[in-house]
Amino acid sequence: MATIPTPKMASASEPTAVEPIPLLGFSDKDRPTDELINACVHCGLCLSSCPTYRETGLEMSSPRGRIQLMKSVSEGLIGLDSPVFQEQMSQCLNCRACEAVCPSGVQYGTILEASRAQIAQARQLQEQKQLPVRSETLKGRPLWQRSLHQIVFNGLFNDMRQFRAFSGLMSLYQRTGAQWVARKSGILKLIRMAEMETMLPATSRHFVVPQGQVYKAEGEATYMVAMLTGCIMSTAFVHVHEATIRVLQKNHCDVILPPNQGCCGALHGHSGDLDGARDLARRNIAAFEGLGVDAIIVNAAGCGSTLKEYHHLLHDDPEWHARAERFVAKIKDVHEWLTEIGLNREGLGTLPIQVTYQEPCHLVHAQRISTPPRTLLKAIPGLELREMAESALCCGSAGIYNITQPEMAARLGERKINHALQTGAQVIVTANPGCHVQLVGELRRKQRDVQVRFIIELLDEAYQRGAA
Amino acid sequence: MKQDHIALIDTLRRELGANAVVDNPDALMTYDSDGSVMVKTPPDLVVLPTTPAQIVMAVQHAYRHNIPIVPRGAGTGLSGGATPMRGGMVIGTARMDKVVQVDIPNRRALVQPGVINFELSQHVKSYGYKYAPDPSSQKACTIGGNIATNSGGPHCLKYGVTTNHILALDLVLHDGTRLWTSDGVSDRAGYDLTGVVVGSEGTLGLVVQALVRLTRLPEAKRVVLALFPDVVSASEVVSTVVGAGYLPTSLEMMDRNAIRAVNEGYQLGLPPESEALLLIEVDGVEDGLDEQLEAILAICTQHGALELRPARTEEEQNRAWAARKNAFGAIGRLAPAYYLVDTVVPRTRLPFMMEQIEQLGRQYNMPMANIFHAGDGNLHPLVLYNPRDPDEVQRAHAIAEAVMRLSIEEGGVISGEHGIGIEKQNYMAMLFNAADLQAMAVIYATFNPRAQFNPAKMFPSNSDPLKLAEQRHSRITRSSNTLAASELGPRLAAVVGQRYLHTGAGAAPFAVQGQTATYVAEPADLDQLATVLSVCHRAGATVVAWGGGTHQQIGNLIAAPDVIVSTQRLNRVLKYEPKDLTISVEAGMPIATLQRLLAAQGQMLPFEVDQPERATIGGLVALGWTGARRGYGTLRDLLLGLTIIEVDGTIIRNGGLVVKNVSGYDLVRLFNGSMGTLGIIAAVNLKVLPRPVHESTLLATFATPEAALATLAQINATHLVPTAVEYLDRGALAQLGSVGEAALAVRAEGMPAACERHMRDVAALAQQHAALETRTLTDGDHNDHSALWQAIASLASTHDAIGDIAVLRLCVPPADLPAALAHVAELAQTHRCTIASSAHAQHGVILMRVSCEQATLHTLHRTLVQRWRHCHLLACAPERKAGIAVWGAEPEGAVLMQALKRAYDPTLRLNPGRYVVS
Ligand SMILES: Cc1cc2nc3c(=O)[nH]c(=O)nc-3n(C[C@H](O)[C@H](O)[C@H](O)COP(=O)(O)OP(=O)(O)OC[C@H]3O[C@@H](n4cnc5c(N)ncnc54)[C@H](O)[C@@H]3O)c2cc1C
Ligand code: SF4
Ligand code: SF4
Repeated sequence: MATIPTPKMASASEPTAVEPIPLLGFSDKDRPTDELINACVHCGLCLSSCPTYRETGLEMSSPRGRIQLMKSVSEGLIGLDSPVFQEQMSQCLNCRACEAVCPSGVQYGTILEASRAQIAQARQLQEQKQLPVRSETLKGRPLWQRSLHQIVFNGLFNDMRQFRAFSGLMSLYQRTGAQWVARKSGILKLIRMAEMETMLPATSRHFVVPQGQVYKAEGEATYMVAMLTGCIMSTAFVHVHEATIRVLQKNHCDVILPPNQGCCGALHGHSGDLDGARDLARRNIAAFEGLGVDAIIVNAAGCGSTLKEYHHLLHDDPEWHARAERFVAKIKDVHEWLTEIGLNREGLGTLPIQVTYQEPCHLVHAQRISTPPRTLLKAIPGLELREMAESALCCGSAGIYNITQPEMAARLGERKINHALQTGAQVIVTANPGCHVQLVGELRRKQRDVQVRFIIELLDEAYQRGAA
Repeated sequence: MKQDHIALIDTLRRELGANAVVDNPDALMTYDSDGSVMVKTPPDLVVLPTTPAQIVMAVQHAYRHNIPIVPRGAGTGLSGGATPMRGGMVIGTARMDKVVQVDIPNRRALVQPGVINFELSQHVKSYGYKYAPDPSSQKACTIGGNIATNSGGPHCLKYGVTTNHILALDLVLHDGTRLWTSDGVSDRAGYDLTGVVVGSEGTLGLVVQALVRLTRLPEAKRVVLALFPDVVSASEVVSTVVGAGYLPTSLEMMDRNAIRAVNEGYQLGLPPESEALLLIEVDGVEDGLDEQLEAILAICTQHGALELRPARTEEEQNRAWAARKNAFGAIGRLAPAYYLVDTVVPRTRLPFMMEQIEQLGRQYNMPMANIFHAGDGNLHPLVLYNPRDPDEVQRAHAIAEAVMRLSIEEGGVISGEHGIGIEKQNYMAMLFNAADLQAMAVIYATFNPRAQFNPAKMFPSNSDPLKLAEQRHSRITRSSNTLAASELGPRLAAVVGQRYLHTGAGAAPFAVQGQTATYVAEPADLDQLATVLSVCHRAGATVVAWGGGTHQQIGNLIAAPDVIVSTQRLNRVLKYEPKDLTISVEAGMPIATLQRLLAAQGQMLPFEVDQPERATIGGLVALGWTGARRGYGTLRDLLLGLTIIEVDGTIIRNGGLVVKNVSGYDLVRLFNGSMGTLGIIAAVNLKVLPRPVHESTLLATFATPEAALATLAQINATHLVPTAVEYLDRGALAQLGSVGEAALAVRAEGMPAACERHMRDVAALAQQHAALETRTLTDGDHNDHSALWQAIASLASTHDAIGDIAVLRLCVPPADLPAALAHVAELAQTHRCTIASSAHAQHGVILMRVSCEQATLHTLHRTLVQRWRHCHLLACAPERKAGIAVWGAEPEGAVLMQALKRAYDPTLRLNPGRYVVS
């Protein structure tokens, strides 16, 4: 019998330098706590729900693997600047499918965002040349990217007037043919914005500007609700907001659009800019306080899940934490709200179409809302709901994921659209702008004549048909 | 080494693609353990192939570089099975997740190993089928992992564990050789390699494809959550319900701590004062299901149930089940980690064990919870602990060890479904002695001779399985031929007594296929049997075992044996605990005696055999006997454990006397059907069944075979679950004293309403095909019912196959049954011979009684083998076997079978030449 050699792992465990180089670990502010990380018992039950694991089959691209990486950083086995760690923190979609299935109740979204915050902080220090240890792999971003980030995150998303102005320009740009010129000339590629550009939805000419206006319920008003207008939804998806308002009016709700509200901060949070997200959270909480409404309605899944977690985001701030809790208690996803109050089925006209439902991660996983959207769809006379395979697997849009992880985003987009097309439905419905954009992009690439709509739009259309 | 290592990685990248290899140390860390996190050691590299061919390539490279190979599925294993103890190459199957083919007519599917258990069931759901074994981890774990650990699950109480659902495996061996263990056809000849590989924990090879059985989805089901004031009364309910013959699908228990955890996680609102919860499910046809549920609920009430909550809607049922399936995780919320202990005890020992476990928790001051497969006696105490507190870790392990010791003391085993892996390797020696382990090590050494596959697992860490196999080999070869041949007679006489040693005319009644042995020995007990074998071995004598002599016609006897060892005097009951529904008997016990014994307790073995007064249980096991009534599985599925006498007289034990067991290699399956060529079966442990509440059979006769077979096809497409469907042709009917061209006998067992429903529906289907007559027999009808099935069992009796009569068995995939029967009929016509055929119709097994001359027999057999491969000439006048390969075409995996025979019987003394490999 041959003896079995036991090869040693070719790893950092064999120190080459006399002085071990200290690893770059988590620092205190916004670190993923050991308590949260250790809630994972390594059972692996989340693996099959994770889109990136399904695509790659790699353990480190699974929730369990990612948590193990975080744990390794926390325990000082690898550094924060480990390329594998950085890559995985970036490749994760933050779709939170893992969180929804985890029997141990691991708060995955929280520890992921904290980990990203750690990377972002370290990167900032690197940029400022203040990192405690030298890191080859933690690259600061080039100046232009930093500036762009500054403009987009701290400028556009922070100030809705700027955002609308920018959107107006975009709209102009799209309509005037400048888009065509830019695409052809490759200018966009040059500034590495190509991916982002194809993602941009066709922007509307007008916007929904929250100024405290009230839309009265049709007939008797049973409820008074406020609505979050958000950023992209209030510009690129104005028609969805309008549809939402009309449907709420049909359902005995007075709808108010409080002024001074803004972007929910989802993109900031997901990318690890937790302080940026906190600023926006405080602003929104203040904007919706004291209105005496029954609910605050959100029609975009991503915004909804962010708003519902403001109290976690602000947990270190005693004053704001309490205010956040009161705020969060009122947040309702529009589908959740409509099924809770009982959809007004009167006046729903027939829509004889086949639809398939792409479940936004931030609805089904982050908010655990899965039945209400289907209940609403099934309430529409004539409409046939055809379930697609893996309806709850992320479509790959996930905020700015298309830009940070174009390859994985494309693979998941393809997987999703194939499942959707297999149903033979004429319309794919969803409830989130990111999914909408991703699906439209995929359909365009495949040159398929299938519509993508928000559920609320179909409800609105059914009411209109009923009225006609 | 390092250089070598880099070269290996480069080659793999080139051949399998850059992204198929992981070698970054930070990334490799995520492969350092499975779901158990007891030991963490990273591999040197991970390979993620997408095709079986790529696996072969990877294995070949590992072979060349002589590095360990560790198969990995989803890594949800709980015994450290996928943990690379010696580093090396992890081969992950995550990218091999395709269902290759769904074959509904044959009720099977060909799948890649990385297919996720739950997704396979989802995949076949639209056809009305499922893959029955459903571990609680089914949403994540893979079929490959299930096979390797012989996974069970909540529904295994009724449907059986993984080994009962795997038909054949496509296996890559350590040097890259790829072979099938079987072709999945029922009753084909050859050792049960599939049974050996299932539960072998990745130590024998890599499963690259599996042919799995699909199970019809039930027409209806009922679920009830029953709450009890204490665990003892809940355990009583478990025994009573199982014993009463209501055959629930699942009986799952949770204790107080578990209830509290799932209550929180799933908002079940269970009364906090309940100490135990039973989740009971029954399924089947709609008819009779409510009566069955009522009867079970009545038992619960009698035993003081606090509350009964039937889950009626599918959603309620799913919620109840979700709570059970996610209970481990829900408990995970209570502490940073838990140690899940997996042991099995006889069902009746559950209350005692629960008490002891509770006490252990107190003694070590550790919080514990219990969620387990109570119906199977499969305990799962969870110890909650903090892995960062060394003292708590130590206490958790102490509790686990205590539970294992207790389980063994109570007649149980150390793993019911999670396997041995690294977690329990050092407890193996508590359950098995050196000889038992050596006998297992033979398998290891045969499949895995360089210890490359998953090294340092399963066997105690201080005993190298290759050494164990080596020790055994030298033990056997050294003692062989150490006794002069002339000593054989006197020594045998000294062992069994002159009265029980026969020679000459005295040996004539024991003639096998016309040949008389020099000696016939009738040992009185196990020890005598062992000593007889030892004497034979030392004297270099060949040995044939003799049970009742009812099936000695089977197989080839190349020469008169030196010694026939009869087990007839070994006919005692070793242990029978009716409430556990298990029995241990000596091998020589006749079936009729055994059935009478069981009947006295309202129990049974669910089969009928030819000549039950003579046929012995040991003989049937050696034959791998199967019959018509397979609704409960075959004898293979009822076997729990064996006592075996090895060729040199060493006594070994394998398996246990509990209904679930994954503790080492499954020699039970290997020896079942090994025709006495690997060892002599001395005692048999069996799972027995309560007599069904009711039984009936519909006998429908038709004008043509086609009409009968069309009816059969329709029955198969319904939700009906007959326990036997026997096809009878004109000849077979004549043997039964009936007339007609063809008939179906369809048997149902269970609640009266369910049986009635079967009779009604089958009769209606038969009418659609212009049945000439339909007749219902029930077990009340002056025993007509049992008489019919006894007669059917005797149709292919081999003992009177003399003169121009021969008995043949033709095994085909079930969907080919009509074609095969037509082929047989056509041959009968061409060759002008009479063939009476009956068939176990849902399994594709045809038994033929042929009367023809010698040349025709040759042609017939050859033609059938050519077309169908598995045509066995079971019995005929001995001289007619000359020139016929009685076992049909060479089986898949013959090389391994050969190697196993050589390893178990290195001196080739046991029943030489009798079976498919010589
Ligand atoms: C919460 C939870 C609940 C569980 N409940 C149950 C239960 O109810 N019943 C039960 O039986 N188990 C249960 N388990 C244990 C575990 O899920 C099973 O053992 C499962 O079969 C492992 O499958 P896997 O794909 O994760 O395999 P892995 O853990 O990856 O591997 C398990 C073993 O299989 C081997 N292996 C994997 N693939 C192959 C292959 N293709 N060829 C050869 N060998 C291979 C590995 O080497 C290893 O030895 C549970 C686990 C968890 C975490
Ligand atoms: S995240 Fe949850 S489901 Fe995934 S491995 Fe950890 S405990 Fe298990
Ligand atoms: S959030 Fe989504 S992508 Fe990220 S680990 Fe969880 S399931 Fe995978």
